[in-house]
Amino acid sequence: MADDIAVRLDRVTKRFGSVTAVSEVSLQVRRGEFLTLLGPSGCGKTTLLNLVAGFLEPDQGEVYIGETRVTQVPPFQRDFGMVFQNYALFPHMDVFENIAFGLRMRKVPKGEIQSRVEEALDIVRLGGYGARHARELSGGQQQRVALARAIVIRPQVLLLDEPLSALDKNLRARMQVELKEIQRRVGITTIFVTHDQGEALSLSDRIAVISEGKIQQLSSPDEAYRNPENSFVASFIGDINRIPARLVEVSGDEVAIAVGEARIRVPKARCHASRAGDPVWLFVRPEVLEPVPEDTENAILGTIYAHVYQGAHIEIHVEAGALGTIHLRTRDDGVMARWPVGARVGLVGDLGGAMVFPRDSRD
Amino acid sequence: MSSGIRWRMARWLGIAFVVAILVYLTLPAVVVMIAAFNEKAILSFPPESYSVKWFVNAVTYPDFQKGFVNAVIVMLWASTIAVVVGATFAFAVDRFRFRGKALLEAILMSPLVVPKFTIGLGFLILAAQVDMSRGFTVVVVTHVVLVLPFVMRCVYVSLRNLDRDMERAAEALGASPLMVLIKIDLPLLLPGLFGGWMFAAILSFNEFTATLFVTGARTETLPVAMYNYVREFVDPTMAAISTIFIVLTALLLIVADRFLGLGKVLAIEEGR
Ligand SMILES: Nc1ncnc2c1ncn2[C@@H]1O[C@H](COP(=O)(O)OP(=O)(O)OP(=O)(O)O)[C@@H](O)[C@H]1O
Ligand SMILES: [Mg+2]
Repeated sequence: MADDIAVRLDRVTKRFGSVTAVSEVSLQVRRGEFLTLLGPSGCGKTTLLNLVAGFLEPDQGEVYIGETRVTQVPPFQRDFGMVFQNYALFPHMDVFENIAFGLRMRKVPKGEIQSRVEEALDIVRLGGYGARHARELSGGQQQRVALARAIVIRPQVLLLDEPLSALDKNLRARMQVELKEIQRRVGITTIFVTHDQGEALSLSDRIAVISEGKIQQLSSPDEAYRNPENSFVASFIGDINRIPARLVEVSGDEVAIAVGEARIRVPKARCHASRAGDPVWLFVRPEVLEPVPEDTENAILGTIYAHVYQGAHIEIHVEAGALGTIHLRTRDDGVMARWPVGARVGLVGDLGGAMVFPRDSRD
Repeated sequence: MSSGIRWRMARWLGIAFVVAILVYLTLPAVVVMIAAFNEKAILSFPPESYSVKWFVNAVTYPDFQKGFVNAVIVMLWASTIAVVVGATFAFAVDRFRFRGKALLEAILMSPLVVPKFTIGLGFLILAAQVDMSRGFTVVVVTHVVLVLPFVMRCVYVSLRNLDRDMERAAEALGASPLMVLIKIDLPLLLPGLFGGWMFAAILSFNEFTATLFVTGARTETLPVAMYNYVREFVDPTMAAISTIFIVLTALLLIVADRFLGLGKVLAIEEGR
């Protein structure tokens, strides 16, 4: 096996009774990479992580950490570090002992334990906190102790299950930056679980978008944002409008689709439906659309329903009948005066980045 | 009547009710404690004159002295064995699925429903069969059976409150199952185990009904000695020894509260 792979899953399946939590997942995590498992609640992220850790055994498939097949190896003999959602710091030990625990289990000599724990504390910027008790620390500090405890054993892979979700918004943003920085400095392979797409986009080298136990797309954040491979990924990553439409014709390198009364052209490369007449979803980011007078040719028609002022930008909700509610986003706060609530409006935009996916006609 | 007045009356009624219950609960103990200081050799209430001579009588009475020592011996053995056995069973029941688990649980809890004299009689018959009826063993064994359900409850609650992620975190750090047990489970369960032990100790020390069957002249515990005493004498010595009993138990609870917090000891607190 190529030795730049830190973790490999080979057609792994895990069922709980009739629920298939993970279904034939294959995945290779590169050494030093920050890989995020992203998906909605219940899609199987934690299960996948626990399969790597060994807290669960797969029904089918194999798990490798580094060169070693570990499918049947119990967790304590696998080489990984883990940070839990609630940190799981040992309440009967101080910070030093918490971090030293893994080294003691590995029978590292005393003097080395001392220096490695101190080094780990420095890495997470908690130098001098060794004698503190876990309950005397703030949430962010506990988080960092948990991180230090996981990396001090220098594992082949670091597993993080929604480690930031217990923190408030500001602290969370700060810890994101810090986590990424520490990960880069230590160079440790990391598998990170979250259902927060913003977090995934900002932290990851690669994102595995998961739905119903399957990997929907495995790519860089940029790719996942710009080139979603299916409508699930398109709707899950970033704010986006999903508008029902119909494929009218395919001509040259463009396709024409009917959105209500409007006829819209999208590059053929951005269209994943093939037959004229197919029902499709048109995915358009809110920042792409702009309001125009309703008699503009090929504009999508609707009524201004609400203005939502958000400081840096304004969101405008447009009620478009059978097309549903369409959101647009603009920095120009003049639009609120020009397009008051209740006004009829047309929507146009540069749809070079829009996406078209097949739609089940029942949707 | 305005609703304000009605509300206030309801409040006073509520308070009066709570006070009545508290008085009701503490009344027997208070009456006994006061009666213990009666100078006369009768168990009357309230006393006309006061004295501590019955306390002197109680602590110097040889049967009580021996009974106390015996009760402590039985208590220490029974509660310690019950904690070890109870914790093991509670752990198994909480952690593993196996056939007959429900049956095992039912059997372990059965001393709660089987009358104590039945248990005492049963062990008396068994002990006679194997010729152990004169020793401490049968007393200890009987007490273990009687206190086991309470110990198991205590340990069970602490096990439920034990965060499984703690164990996983330890395992992730390379701790074998044995190490997890020693380094994580035991320390975290310690308050529950100690609480179970305390419970067992107090119950064992106070146990009378079944004990009456299985003790002999040599192994007679304090409650049995007290029973034998009242069959012959009716004087405030009984009240005095009861008072000592209450004070000792209360002291034990206070010490436990000091070191561990009563909520934790009795395992009535939620985990974290
Ligand atoms: N021990 C279990 N027993 C039975 N079903 C389980 C068990 N663990 C998970 N499941 C089921 O497997 C599926 C995936 O669960 P999993 O915990 O992996 O989801 P998740 O992606 O981590 O969700 P969340 O974001 O809510 O944590 C769910 O349908 C869940 O109900
Ligand atoms: Mg989860």
